[in-house]
This record gives sequence, C-alpha cells and structure tokens, in this order.
Amino acid sequence: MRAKRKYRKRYDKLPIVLLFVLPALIPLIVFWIYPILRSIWLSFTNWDFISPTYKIIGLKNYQSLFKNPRFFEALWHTVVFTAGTLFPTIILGLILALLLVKPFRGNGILKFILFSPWITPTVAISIVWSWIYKTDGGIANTILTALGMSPLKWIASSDTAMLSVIIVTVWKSLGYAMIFYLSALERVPGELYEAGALDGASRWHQFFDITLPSISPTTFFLTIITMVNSLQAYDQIQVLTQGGPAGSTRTLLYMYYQLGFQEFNMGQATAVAVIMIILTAGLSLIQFKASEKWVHY
Amino acid sequence: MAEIILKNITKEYENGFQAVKHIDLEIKDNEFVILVGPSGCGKSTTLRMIAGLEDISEGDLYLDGVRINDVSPQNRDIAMVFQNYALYPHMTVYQNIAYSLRIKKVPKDEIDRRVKEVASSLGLTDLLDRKPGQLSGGQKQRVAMGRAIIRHPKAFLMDEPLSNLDAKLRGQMRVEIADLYQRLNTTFIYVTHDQTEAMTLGTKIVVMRDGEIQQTDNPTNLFNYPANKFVAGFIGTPTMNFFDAEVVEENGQVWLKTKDGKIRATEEKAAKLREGNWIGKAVTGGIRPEHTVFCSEEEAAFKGEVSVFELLGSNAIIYVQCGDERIVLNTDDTVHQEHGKSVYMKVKESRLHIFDPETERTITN
Amino acid sequence: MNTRYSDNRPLPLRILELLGKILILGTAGIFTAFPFIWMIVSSLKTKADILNTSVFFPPDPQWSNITSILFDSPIPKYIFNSAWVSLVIVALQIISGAMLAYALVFLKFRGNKLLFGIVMGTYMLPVAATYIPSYIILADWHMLDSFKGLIISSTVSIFGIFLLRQGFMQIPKGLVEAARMDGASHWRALWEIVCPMTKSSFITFGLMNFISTYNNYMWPSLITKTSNYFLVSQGLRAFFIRDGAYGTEWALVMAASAVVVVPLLILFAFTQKWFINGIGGETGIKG
Repeated sequence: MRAKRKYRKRYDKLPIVLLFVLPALIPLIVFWIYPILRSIWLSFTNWDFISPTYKIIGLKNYQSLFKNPRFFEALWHTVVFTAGTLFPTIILGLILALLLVKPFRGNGILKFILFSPWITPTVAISIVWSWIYKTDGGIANTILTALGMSPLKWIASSDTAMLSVIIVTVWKSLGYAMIFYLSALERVPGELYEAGALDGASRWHQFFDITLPSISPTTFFLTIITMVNSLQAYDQIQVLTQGGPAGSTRTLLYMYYQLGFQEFNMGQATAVAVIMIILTAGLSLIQFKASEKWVHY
Repeated sequence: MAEIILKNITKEYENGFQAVKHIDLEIKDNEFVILVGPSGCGKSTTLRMIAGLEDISEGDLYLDGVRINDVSPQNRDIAMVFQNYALYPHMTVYQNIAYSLRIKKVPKDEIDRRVKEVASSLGLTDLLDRKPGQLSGGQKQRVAMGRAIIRHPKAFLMDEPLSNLDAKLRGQMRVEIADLYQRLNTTFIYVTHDQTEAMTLGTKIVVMRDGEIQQTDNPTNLFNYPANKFVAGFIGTPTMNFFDAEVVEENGQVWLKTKDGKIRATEEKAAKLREGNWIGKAVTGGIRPEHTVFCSEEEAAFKGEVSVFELLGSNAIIYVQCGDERIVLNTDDTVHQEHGKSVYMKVKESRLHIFDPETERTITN
Repeated sequence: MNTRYSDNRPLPLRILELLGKILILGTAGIFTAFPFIWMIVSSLKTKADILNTSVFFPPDPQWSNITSILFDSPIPKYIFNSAWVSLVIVALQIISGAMLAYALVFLKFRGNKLLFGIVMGTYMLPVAATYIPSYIILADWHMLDSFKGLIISSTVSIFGIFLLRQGFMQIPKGLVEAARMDGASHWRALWEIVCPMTKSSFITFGLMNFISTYNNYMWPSLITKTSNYFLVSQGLRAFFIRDGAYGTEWALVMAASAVVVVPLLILFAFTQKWFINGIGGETGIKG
C-alpha cells in the first residue's frame, strides 16, 4: 500500500511538468540533441546524401581526414584565426573598458559606437569591408599609401587574407568584450581600492594586484566564449574569401561546410563536425570546471 | 468554515529524510490552531502540506470530509499569509489584495467594493495606490492579511507572520490577529516558534519536535499539564527547571529526594508514583521558575549561590547556581538579589512535574 | 567607483595620461565607426566618384541610389522577411524558454537536475554541427526552402533559457506560492507574477535573439534557395554577388548595406541598455 502510494505520488504533477517542459524540450531534442547524435553516427558512414543506402565504414572517415593535408591546414587556420582574434579582442576590450569605466562626457556615445558592430549583420559589414579591402581603389590601401606604407593585397592574397578576416572579426567582437569587462569592472568592490590606496599601492600595482585578479573570471569566460565563437565563424569568411585564396582562410567550420554542402561528402563532413564538437566540449568543460573554482570572492 | 483532518501524514524527502512523521491532527471548524516548536520540527512543512505547497508522501488530508492530497493549492480555497509577506512587488496594494478575486473572475465593481471594505478594516485605505516597496513592515503585514481575508477562504494559514517585525509591532499585530479571528469566525492555522504568540493566540496548540507531535491541547492545559519534558521545557519563560531526584517513601509519605533536600509529593501524585512502581527509582523533576521560592534552610529542596539576577520591574528573574545545576526563580522577593549570596529554595508542591528519565514522559498527569 | 583614489600625481603626468586616453579612445572610435561612415558616404556616390578614393564626401549625393534600393530592389522584401520571421521565432522562443525556465526553477519534479544538465550541455556546442541532420529532417518534412522550416527549426533558444532561469532564480519562491494560494495556475503565475518581475530579462532576451535571428546567415542560407524566402543577410549577399554587381555596382551595394544596417543602428541606439544588461548579466559570473 505504502509503496504504491509513493509510486503514484511521484508522477502526480507529471501533466503540468510536461506541459511546461515539452514546448522547449521537443525542439531541443529534434534540432539539437538528435542531430548531434546523428552527426556522430553519420561520421562512421560513407553516406553521400544522394544515395538511399550507405555503409558503416568505421573510423575510415577519421583516418582519411588525418591523412588529408587539407584537414591539418584547416586545423592550423582555425588555430591561427582563433589566436588572432582572441588576443586583440581580450586585450583591447579590457583597455577600452578601463578607459571608459569612469563616466565622462561622450562616454555613452563612445560605448555606443564601439558596441554597434556587434549588432549589425556580419554579412552586411563584411560586404562593406570587402569594399574597404579592394586592392585597387580600396580605402584601406589609400590610407596605407597616405601613411607612406606600401599597399597590401588584403583578401586577394593568401598572405594577407587571414589577417583581413581577423581584422573584421576583431572589429566586430571588440565591443562585446568591452561591455563584458565594463560590467565586471563595475562590480569590483570599491572598498578593495580604498584598502589598496591606504596600503599605498601605486596605480600600477592596483591594476595588477586588485583589478586584474578581480576580473579574472570574466577574462576566462571571455576567452572561452571568443574561442567558441571563432571556431564557428562562417559569415565573414563566406563573404570575404570563401575560404580562399588557395584555401588560406579555410577553417574547420568552413571545411565542414564545403565537405557537407558543396561536395556532399556527409561522412567526412560529420567527422569534422564531431571533431569540432569535441573541441568545443573540451573548452566548455574547462570553462565549467574553472567557474566552479574561480568564483573566488 | 472548514474542518481539516490530517491522518497519518508523513513528509519524506528524496534523500530519505522525514520532516514530518506519521502525524494525526483534527482541526475543527473555527479553531485557532497553533503549530509550535523549534526550527526544523516540521511545523512549517505540515502547514505547507495543508496549503498544498508540499506533496504529502504518505497519509491522508481531508478538508470538510474530502480527501485533498492531490488537489493543487489553487483549488483548495485556503489562504495563506507568508513569513516574508510575499507581496507582488509590481502590483499596487489594491492589485495585490484584488488578485485572487480577479483570478476568480469576480465582477469589477464587486472586487472594488470588497477591496475597499477590507482595506478600511485594516487601515489600508490611504495606501491602496502604493507599491509594496513603499510600505513599512507592519503595513506589508496588513496587506498580506488583507489579501487573505478578501477571499473568505475556508481556512487561513499563517507561516510565522510576525517574525519579521520588531518587538513592539509584533505585540500590536498579535492583538490585531486575535481581533481578526474573533471577527472572521474561520479556521486559523498558525505556525510560530514563539511560544508567547502560541499561548496568547491559540485555542489549540500543537507542539512539535523532530517531525512528531508532542502534545495537542489548549494553552492552559499545555502549561499546567505538559505531556513530557520537552513540552514542559518549551512552554513558559524562563524555561522550567529540571533536576534529578529519587522517589522514596517514608512514613506513608512519598517524597522526591533531591541533592540538597526533599519535596513532598501531593496525594494525587503519590498515588500515580505508587501505581507506576516508581518508589526507589530515579526520576526527573520539573518546576517552573514562578513556582520556585526562597525559604529557610530546613525546608530547602535546593541550595546554591545567586549568580545573575535580572530585574523586570515588579518581579525579577534570579539565576542560582547549585553545583553544576542551575535553578531559575521568577519572584518578587527582592531580598536575595545579591550576587554570590547563598540561598535556599523550595517548590510549590502542587506545581511539581515528574518525568520518566528514560522516555521523558510525564508520570503524574 | 568615482572616488577610488585621490589623484595627487604631478600635473604634467596627468595631462600626458589624459592625452593618451583621448588618443586611444579616439583611434578606437574612428576605427569602429569608419566602416559605417564609409558605407554611407559610398552609398551616395556616383559610379565614377566611388572609384576615386581621394574624394571622401560625395560631391554630388546620389539619393537615387537609396531610393532605387528602397523601391526597385528586393532588399525591402528581405528586411520584411527577416523582421517577421524573427518576430515569430523570438515569440516562440520566449514562450518555450519561459516555460522551461519556470519548470526548472519553480516546479519540483524528478529529472529537474538532469534536464538542466542537458540544457547546459547543449549551451556551448557548435550549432553548425547540427546542420546536416537538421537539414535532413527538414527535407524529410518537406520544409526546406520555406518560412515554416526556418521557424520550426529555431523555436528554442538555449541562451534565452539560461537568461530567464538566471532572472527567475532571483524571485523569492514565496511569491509564486502566494500566487498559487491566491488561486493562480502555474501558467498565470508565470505570466502575471514571474514575467512582470523579470521584465528586463524578457526584454533583453527578446532584443538579443531578435537581432541574432534577424542577422542570421549560415542556417537560413543552407535551407532556403528561393529568393522569396531569403532573410536579409542571405538576400544582401545574393544582391552583392548577383551577376554584374560584384565589382561594378559598389555604390548600389553600399546603399543596400546602408538600408539594412542603419535601421538596426537606430534600433540599437534606443535599446542599448538591454543589450548591455544581457551581456553583463548573462553568465552569472560574480566578478
């Protein structure tokens, strides 16, 4: 009797719980969880999207990926692109936030300007940038020439294409990092500085001993989120370079796109996707583990 | 207007902890029932089960004869006043009070009439347009009560409603709640850890500890005839004095032999002690501070030295150290208010309580 | 924040610092604003002027560039598509997200923690990794190349669930319980008590997701092929690369970009604080 009643009790609220959970859970399963699992499954097959049948070929997709120089090139480009966007974004974002944290005239408009690229469509601004980068008659080269430097070929050359894409990405994400840092800086308790001032700490020391440690969780979070975003950058690459010239801006994601939606090599494409999932999962795990430890005051 | 019956109610959490253990309780219509006990005794959980805010793990809950275990709180027609008032901060006082009627789709003009009526009875008329953030603690408390009253619910539940108020306001609100109860003629169930509130407001007090009911009775009986040592110690301030004693029979008289003397058991108590075969055994004695008095050396049951005294106006609380025990007196005797003074004390025999040292149950009720 | 320390360093040093500050902020401001300004001035130039970079402002503003985009191009249609599809998607995301967040915070049920773990687990996964199977699903449902497909594949926002959960956790449980005692269903408690109290989370959620759906490119471009169904990013790119325009019609391309970007900048000017709230508060990092 007792066991029976408890059993029933547990499911008592089930209808209301389902009502509240399912509207989000069903799409979550259909368009997130199932596709991720399906991707993993497809990465062990040789499906070409057109044929109705396909074979399980085990790790062959991964083996051929690891034998393919294009893959390592893409991996390397991903690393370069990630590092190239990460450091400028974080460092410049912090500098701008430090300069803007104390209110002054024009502070609001500056924040508005610096943040505005983040809300505009990447495609639109990438088009504008490709106009700026135009080799002959582009304003970028006009400015370089005016400054006495030799013009660059920007997105037209495999030497500078990655740099060009990185500049656009940093330009777009800088404001996000700045806003993030601003709210972190505003939350550093003022007493810490008062205590620091009483201890005779110089401003330099205040920055390294008080400010920097206090915002370290933010720095960490931003690092992870910027890396995850860089791993998924697509729009600007598609508009500016389509992975070129000569594959010089082909990142893992762009390779995935080309394999899957241009070459219809679904097995290989999903194998790349799985590698990306593993990379991001690794980053999220680090983030998660660290945030447990790092919320330290 | 409601009769609420709890039958063998248990609350067990997922981790196996039992917050409430197999309690039975009958709450008659128009009673003012107080659930009282130290924190963690399960009183709030019990109230929340009656409200429907906690699932009942086992047992049956009846409201006017209908089992309501599985009825959701919104359909129980019971109102509740929360400890933190739980006023909706984005609504005005008027909207807060009117919310339940709006849900019931009561016509607008009737809502208006009833809100104004309730507001005037609680002195809230001038505050109707304010938001809760602009109110004082006492005003919030009144709004919370107004929100409950307006519904004419079957029962009022109150969860430590006064614990967030300062002492003066608490006394005042206590009177108002008592007054409200007189006017509304409804069942009240009130949770508190404050025994003063319990004793002054309740018609029936349920003392709980560790998820179990210790005693259910009216205030007078609870004070005079506590069922066990816990209840005896919980009700009354300062706390009842407890001491070790041995039951002896000398010359046809039953005595409690204490460390420093002895106390005569009344006829009634002597009979109970004989009946229960307690002669020659150890018991725990209990006497309230107001029933402990100073006396001469010959009469003394206890002796010791005054360690602390607190003057409260007409009377004083005197703490006497007797070896490693402490006896507290509540007395108007001003002679002995002197630190370190040696004193002798006896007890009012008719007010003596005797407990089984093992089970802590009262032997002599 | 404003009285952190008294500055008693020598005056020249302070002036130097001020100049440095102005220099850095000025450079950053100009660098950030420049592409927008360049876009706008370019959009008003003639075909001849636009190739002459020594002329900054258009000598003879070609307002006809703008009007031809507004009245004789598909761009307004793409903007309209983006706007209404995003509105529908965000509305669905708010409803589903609010309900799930409510369940996670206020309902007690088995699997609550597991459910949160699942949501949490998908938070940072690369959405692109879901595209191939999602594409197949939409193909099976015959929803490729349709607004239906676009909408149905985006009805849940994990970011939004996080944001709302964060907000809901600030609400004392007693308030929801009070509403339940007052006779409110969970549904009413969510929309009449919880929602008004976390209005700012809802606004932030709505705006941020509106913008990101509005701007979204990769997924819509994979599943829609007919220009009737293009959202603005895809439409703009199609306009950019359509035959002939690439390389010759820069003024028109810039005009089209301006028509897309400027309204967003104006919207952003009025709603900036909600974005800042969302970014500052979304993570729950106390620091």
